[in-house]
Formats: sequence, C-alpha cells, structure tokens
Amino acid sequence: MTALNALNGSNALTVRVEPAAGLRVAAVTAALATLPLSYREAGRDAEVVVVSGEPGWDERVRAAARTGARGVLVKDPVPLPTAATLQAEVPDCVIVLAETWASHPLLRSAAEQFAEPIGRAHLIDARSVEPATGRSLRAVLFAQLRAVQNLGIGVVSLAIAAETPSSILGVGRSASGARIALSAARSDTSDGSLDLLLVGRAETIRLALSDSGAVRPGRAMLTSEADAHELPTAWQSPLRTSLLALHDALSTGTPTDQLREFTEAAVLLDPGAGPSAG
Amino acid sequence: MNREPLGVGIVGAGPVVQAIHLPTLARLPDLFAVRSIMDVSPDVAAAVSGRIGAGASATLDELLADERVEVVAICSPSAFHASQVIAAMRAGKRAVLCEKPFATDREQAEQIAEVSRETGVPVIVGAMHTFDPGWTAAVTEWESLGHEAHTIRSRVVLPPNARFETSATEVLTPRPASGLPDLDDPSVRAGMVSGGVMGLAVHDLPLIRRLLPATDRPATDDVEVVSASALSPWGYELGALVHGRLVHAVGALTEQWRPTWELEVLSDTASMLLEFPPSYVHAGSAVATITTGEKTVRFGPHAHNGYEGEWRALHAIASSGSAAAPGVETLIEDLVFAVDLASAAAGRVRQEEIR
Ligand SMILES: NC(=O)c1ccc[n+]([C@@H]2O[C@H](COP(=O)([O-])OP(=O)(O)OC[C@H]3O[C@@H](n4cnc5c(N)ncnc54)[C@H](O)[C@@H]3O)[C@@H](O)[C@H]2O)c1
Repeated sequence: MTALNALNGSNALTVRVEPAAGLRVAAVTAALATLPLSYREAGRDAEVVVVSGEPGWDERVRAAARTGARGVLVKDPVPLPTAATLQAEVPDCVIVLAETWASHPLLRSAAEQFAEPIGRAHLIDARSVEPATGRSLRAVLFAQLRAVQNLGIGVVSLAIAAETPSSILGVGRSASGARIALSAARSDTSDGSLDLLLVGRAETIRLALSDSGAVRPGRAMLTSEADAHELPTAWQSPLRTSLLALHDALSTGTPTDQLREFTEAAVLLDPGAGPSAG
Repeated sequence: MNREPLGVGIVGAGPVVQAIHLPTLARLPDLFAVRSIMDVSPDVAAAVSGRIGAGASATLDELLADERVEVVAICSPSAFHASQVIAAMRAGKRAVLCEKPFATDREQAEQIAEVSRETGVPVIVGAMHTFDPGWTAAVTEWESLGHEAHTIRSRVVLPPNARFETSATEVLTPRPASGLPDLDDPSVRAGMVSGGVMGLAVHDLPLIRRLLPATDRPATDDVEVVSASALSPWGYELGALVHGRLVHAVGALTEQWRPTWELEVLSDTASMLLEFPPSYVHAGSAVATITTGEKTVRFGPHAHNGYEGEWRALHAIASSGSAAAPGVETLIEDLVFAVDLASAAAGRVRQEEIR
C-alpha cells in the first residue's frame, strides 16, 4: 500500500447497502459519504454489507456471510433473544450493531472516563420522549437498556412496572445493586434524545445523547463535591461511529462482543411479558 | 384594607425560619412586622427573635395571647402542625401560614378544614412551588391551550441543605450529621420513602394534581403505586399511575454540588419543563418552558420565588377576609394525595428486593 493509495481511498472496504423495508438507506448512504477513505460503495461482492435490523435480521446476517462478506453492520436491530449464538455461526464475519443511543460515541467515552463513579451510582434513571409515529414504547425501553449496558453497567433484572397508551416505565437492578428506572412517553415534541441521570452518594453523571442519525453532539457531565468534568463533544453520529468500529474491527482483526449483552437485554425485556412487579 | 404592616407570630425557629422566612419578611416591610417568635427551645426563640428585634414567647399560648400577633406561621416539625394550626385558628387570628405538610394524615387535615370553616380563619400551606410565579405563568398558559398531560416526571437531586441555608443566612442551629441508613431493614426503607414523599416530593404533588385532574367531583384520586425504591444515603424512586397516567419521581440528597429540581410534563402535542431553584436560597423563580410544534416559549425567571408569593397571598387573605383564600378542600385533597402516595409507596418498598 502506498501512501497515495491510502489517500485515494483505494484501501477502502467495499460496502453494499441492502435495500429493505424499514432501513433508512439514505441515512446509511449519508454516513458512508462521510467516510470516503474507509468505505467505497460496491455491488454484489462487497466486503461489508449493511442490513436492516427489522425482524429476521439474523437471517440477513447469515445470507451476507454466505456471499462472502467479512463484515455486517446491522442497522437498528430489534430485540432477538437468540442472537448470542449468531457470531459463532458466522466465524469469518464480524457483526457490528448500529443502535440508537447505544452506539453513541459519547457513551463509550463516558464508560471509559467515568467508569469508577458509574460503578458507585445508586440510581440510574433514563428518560426519553418518542414521537407519535416513532417506535413502540417497548422498543424504546430496549434501546434505553442497551445504552445503560454500554455505560458498563451490568443489568441483572428489569420489569415493566407500568404501561399506558402514552407511556411506559421499567424498573430493575444492576449487578452492583443500583436501582434502574427506564421511562418513555409519547409526544410530538420529541427531539429523539436520551436523557440519562446517574446518582451516587457524592457524584452525579448526566448524559444527553442525540438520536442515531444526528450529528448534533451529546453532553456528558460528571459533577462531584468540588467540581464538574464535561467530556469533549463528539460531532459524529452514532451511525458513523458504528461504521468506523466495523472498519477498525476488520483492519485490526479484533472481534466485537456486542451480541452477548444485546441478547441479555432482549431476554430481560422479553416482548411477550406483561406488566410485572417493581 | 389594613395599611399598617400585619403583626406576625412564628412558631418554631429552626433553619427554615432563619433561612427562608425571615429573609423573605425582611423584603416585605410594608406588609409584615414580626412581633413574636416561639420555640420549644427558649434559647433558640430568644436568639432568633433578638436578631430582628422581635419578642420571644415561651409557649404557644403566650404567643397566641399576644394581640399584636395578627397572623401566625407554623414552622415547627410536621408532627405538631395540625394541632398548632388549629390552636391559632381558635385564638381568632386573621390567617395562618403552615409549612408543608400541614398535617400528617387525612384525619388531621379534615380537622383543620372543619375548624377553618367553623372559625372562618383561612389557612395557607407553605408549598412554595404552588406560589412560584414561573409555575403560575406557565400553568396558566398550559391550561389555556388545552393541553392534557399524560406523563409527568420529576427529578430532585440536591446537595446538602446546609450549603443553601448558610448562603441564605447565618444559621444558628446547624443540622446534625446523619449516618448511612441500613437499607436491608424494610422499615428503614419504608420510612425513607414515605419521608421522601412527605418531605421533598410534596413540593410538587399539588402541581402534579393540578396537571392530572380527577375526572369526578368531588375529586377522589385514583392512585396506584407501581414502583418504589429507597436510595442510599437518602432518596426515593417512585412510579405511580394517577388516574391512569404515569407519574415517575426520583429524589436524592447527595454530597455533590449541583442542584437539579425538574418537573417534566408531557401531552401528545406539547411538553413543559419546570426548573426550580433549590429550597432556602432566594434565587428567583422557576424557569418554565413550553414546547409545541416548532417553538418553545419561556416563562421566568422572575425576581422572586414562591416564598414571597406565599407571604403575599397570606397578606391578601388576612386583609380581605377568607373569601380570597384558596379553598381548604384543595389543601385537603393535596394532602390526602400525598399521604396516600406515601403510604402506598412505603408498603411497596417493604417488599422490595434490594439485591
Ligand atoms: N418550604 C421549604 O422549602 C421547606 C424546606 C424544609 C423544611 N420545610 C418545613 O418547615 C418546617 C420546619 O423545618 P426545619 O428544617 O426548620 O425544622 P427543624 O426540625 O430543624 O426545626 C424546627 C424548630 O421547631 C422547634 N420545635 C420543635 N417542636 C416544637 C414545638 N412543638 N413547638 C414549637 N417549636 C418546636 C425546634 O426546636 C426547632 O428549632 C417543617 O415542617 C418542614 O417540613 C420547608
């Protein structure tokens, strides 16, 4: 590889965006256009395939692997309690999930930089507002749960405490005993962001995460007894972050391990279960 | 119309009086003059009254017998509120201001209402958020636009009270430090959550009731607590369905410095966010924003918060008679709502699995 090749993007991975109902192809194309050195759009034999996360996405991943894809990006995957074994079925293909909020770049930096205070929190309170035409409120709660997991918080229980046509509340516990509360409500005033508040004895952490397509930066602030620490803003959408993560995983050969926690979340929030104890 | 300032008697002279009421009254010299202060600790009564050149009373009877005392503020610990409010009414005072909560159960609240009707003496509860001009402006707009809330979420995370008290006054009676609670003990959890509802969440419960009105008259609140948890070192998490609409509240006292006091109200087409300053400090009103469609409208900050508003309201009802007073029924309904929530939450948190 010459330096010029790299500059031309001739080292770019070829990528194919699978057209499918529900996949916002335009959003993916727009994100790819911001990574001209990493990705180049191609046809059938692309190294990377972007598939929709609508029901049946595991089948789409298998199909892409069969056609020789080295990497698959699953956009907005719906909960799938059987996803844990998928990676083992396609050992030569790296699977990366592109999720609303959970793939937000700020979540990863907060998880790294605020790891200790996150571990000391007694309360994790996640709140969002969903437009009338948006996802089901259970799907929103699942997306919140995934964001909580990506903060490095092991969630061991979660139950739907209340569900009305306009709102939902889920409560549970983390592995360290923190109370977890997730809530979502419908309003057309939604800006798609997730508001996370972590409260410990001597610190609070507040995160505002914009939605998956937005480049509008989030905010992450740790407040302690004497001062406050704000993380630098990242002007990068969660979708672009996921595409970069997939590129990194393929160039360095580092496997990703998103499916285990994703599956745990899907099992915790089994869509078939009704309201239960809080 | 009374042109002279009204004479005030204050019962209980703890941090709330020192940091909240005396600085507020100092800004309203045309309306009020403090005549007498009573506390079970005579030293506290003497020291606090001495600061402002008022007299000290050794007993409640002595304070109530003082004819210069025209209105009474009850600022003792909550357990004494009902009996002291009733005594002040029976003494024929012109109006009573009682710190929140004005009673600890429904029976006490009904007794107060009964005596208020019998004596004609109006009572106001010092629920300062209900008097906050940011809130009153925003809720008037919200209601005039016909928005119907279906979800309300509250977040109150505060640094230690002492930080605010010491910036609002020079406190005479600092609070004792409290240790870490044993949350393994169900009765500790129950006490914390019901104390959290009656002590902290109570500030916003009248707002919540107003935004989620009962559909029947007389109003009976249909409340189902769906989640409750006690937080270390002090706090609560509480979920409830009120007339089938979701209310979620978290409150915590922490050592970190940033106060957060938010109430978020959602309807299908609008949302309202109220951001209140912490208690004790006199930092102006809440800032409220109402978002609809493409625009957000802001209310406040106004120069003063609800502390001044409650004293002004007291002056208005004491000057023009009880007709101007808020209905005592509303106060009872607000209190019963708080008591019902607190006891249902306490019951639930006893059963809580904490691991
Ligand atoms: N509006 C607010 O922002 C706010 C904030 C905190 C507390 N409060 C309420 O204000 C009231 C007082 O709070 P505080 O923190 O000052 O309370 P506190 O318990 O610290 O002090 C109350 C004072 O009352 C005295 N006292 C005790 N028993 C008495 C009795 N039977 N008669 C007369 N005095 C008696 C005590 O000696 C003490 O000086 C409480 O009801 C509380 O719920 C209001």
